[in-house]
Amino acid sequence: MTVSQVFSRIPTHFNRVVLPLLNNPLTEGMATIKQEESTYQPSAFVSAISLNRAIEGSQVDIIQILDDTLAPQLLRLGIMPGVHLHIIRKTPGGGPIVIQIEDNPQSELAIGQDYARQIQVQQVQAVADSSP
Amino acid sequence: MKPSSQSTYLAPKSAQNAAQPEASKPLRIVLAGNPNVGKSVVFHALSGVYANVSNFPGTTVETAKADINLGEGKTAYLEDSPGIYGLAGLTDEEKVAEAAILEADLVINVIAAPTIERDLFLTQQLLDYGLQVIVAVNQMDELATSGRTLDLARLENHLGVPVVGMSAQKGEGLDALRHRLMDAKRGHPMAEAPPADILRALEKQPIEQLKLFGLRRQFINRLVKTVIQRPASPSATTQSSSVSRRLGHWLLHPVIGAMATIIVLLALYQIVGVWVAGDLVNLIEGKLMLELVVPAIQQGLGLFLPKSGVLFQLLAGEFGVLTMSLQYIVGVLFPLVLGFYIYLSILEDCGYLPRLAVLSDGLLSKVGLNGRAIIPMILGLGCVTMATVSTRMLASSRERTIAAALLAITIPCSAQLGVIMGLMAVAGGLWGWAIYLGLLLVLFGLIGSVLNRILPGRSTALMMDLPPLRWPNLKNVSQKTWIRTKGFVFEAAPLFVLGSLIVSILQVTGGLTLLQQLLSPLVVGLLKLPAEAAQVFVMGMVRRDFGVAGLFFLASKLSAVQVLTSLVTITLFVPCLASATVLWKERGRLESSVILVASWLAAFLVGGVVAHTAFWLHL
Repeated sequence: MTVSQVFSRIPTHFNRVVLPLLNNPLTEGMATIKQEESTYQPSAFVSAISLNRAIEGSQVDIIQILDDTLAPQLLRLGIMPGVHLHIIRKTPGGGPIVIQIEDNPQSELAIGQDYARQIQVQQVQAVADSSP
Repeated sequence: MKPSSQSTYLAPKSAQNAAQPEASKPLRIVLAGNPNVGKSVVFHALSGVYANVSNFPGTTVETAKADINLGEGKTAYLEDSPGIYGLAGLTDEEKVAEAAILEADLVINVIAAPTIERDLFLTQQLLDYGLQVIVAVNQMDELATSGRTLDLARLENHLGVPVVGMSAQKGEGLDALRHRLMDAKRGHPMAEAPPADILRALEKQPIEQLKLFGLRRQFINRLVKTVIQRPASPSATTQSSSVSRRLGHWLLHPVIGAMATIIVLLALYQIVGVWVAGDLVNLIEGKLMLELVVPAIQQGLGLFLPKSGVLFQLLAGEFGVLTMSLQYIVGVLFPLVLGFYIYLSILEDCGYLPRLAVLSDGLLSKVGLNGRAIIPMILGLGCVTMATVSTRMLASSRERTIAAALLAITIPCSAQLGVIMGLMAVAGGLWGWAIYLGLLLVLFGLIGSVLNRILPGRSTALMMDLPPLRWPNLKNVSQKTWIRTKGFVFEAAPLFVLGSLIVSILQVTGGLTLLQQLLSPLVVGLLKLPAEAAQVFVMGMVRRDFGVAGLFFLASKLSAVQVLTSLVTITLFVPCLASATVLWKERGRLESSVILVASWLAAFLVGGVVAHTAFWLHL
């Protein structure tokens, strides 16, 4: 079994969160949220790295958020599995990663190393930006 | 009760509209929204009371409150709240905001149009919780610069509550908000949400919370797609917006950003250090105060009191309440603090400070803080007393302790720096500065890392929005400067007066000489200074710059090394009386005592090391 196969078998956070809702008696009826509607479709060749190791100027897809107390905080900001991020700047010496959420071009966010380590992403495009 | 006059715009239009307060209780209106969306501007517009408006996320630490007039003799109670991304009680700040919001009769939810995807999460949560809401969409002008358009009518339809577009900085849309304020009502909860009270309880449990947050996020993302129109091509983005973005990215570059920071600090040195502390203070203190005002007070008082009497000494003597404190507060501190705050307010309003927070995060995380803590540290260069109050904006008690200790011990304030700049010429010029700043930095790192090791718990990492860069707004800058300077004058100045009173009493009773004798073994033996220098340290306990100023008179008798030793010791030595009092209030008896003792130890140890190293090197 290759590494990517192993990763694709790990249920993503998104699946852990949303799928159980469909059989939760308290939230019954939510089944209207169909799985096809979910923005995230796990690819067959997922290779996960943590956000702090993504390349500056590249773009990534979020796969999973490892810390369960961080996940709700990030959800409020619109950061969750399936979301596409631009890595704007990585500051050296343990500094934060500055990202921009794809659908929200006017919002930039600095994420400290400790948090960035908990965010698993998949590199989708390694294009150098025109910025320095 | 049914309003008879439906004609007035403030009267509720239907029974399900804004809650009618009981006759005895005024309507309680709370402003809620994400950090840095403009809640404080709205607060100001509705109440006429100024709340701290800034371009730095998380500046509302104490909530502003005011009574507002709704017309027809009706009044309401309006409350600002700290910016939050949602109701989850994850930090102290959030708990404060949450408590205020959940008790509100009516919530004005301020959201920023450019970050609507993020901001609507809180909006939806307010609706899901069954609160009476009106939504104010701010920064419509900034949204326009990105070429995106927002369909407000459709958004209103979806949410089921009044939605008002605004550009609060320009004053647009505030009248509309005032007109529709009382139309606030319960809106549409997200699809399939359980009843409000069940939902509130469920969102207290971690796993359910995650599920419901996930659902809400999806719901919002779908909603946003129907109300936001993206530009056909990316080139539709206007020039100014992309230049500002580009510049913002350059400022985050490790090398270019660091160079920009150095330029910003050098400009601060030139403006506040050289022009204000040098030229302006010389003019006001040297000419106006010492040559005109102080002699006038002494002569005037001399008409009523004998000049050799105790009362005269207390009021108008060398350390007199009327003379010395007036001379220092008006002549030295006021121009320094004012100059510093103008400069800082400009930096803050143009959005530079969050970039600085990002750049310094790596270093600050090594001492158990995160980039946010750069704000109290920089404020400390102005006045440590005011900066200690601002440590409240840090997320955990652990971080507040570390920041308060670092401020009390290692950060010199503008008043001190002003005098130190004058003395550095005597103490070796550039070399003196290098040694002085080097020692402070080493100690900053040392104290920070030790505290980071021994304090229990973990510090939080940085998670901060970077607002777009913009030209500073003259009104914002002047109001912010005014608020801060006023705070300084009202909170710190009375303590300075008290300080000079204590020194006067000590001088009159002979206590000053006694203290000097007690301290002299330390001063002469350890620091290798003349015995008179002890007086400088005693005065330093009252006000750090009193101490440094005292050195001026001694400087002619001292060698360069001795001046440098004294400057280092005085800087590290006990913070001034005003900041010690605030430290006590903010951090409690035990913590503040430990910090004060540590600063004594640090001062004499480091001072001793400087003196003895120089001695061995035969300097």
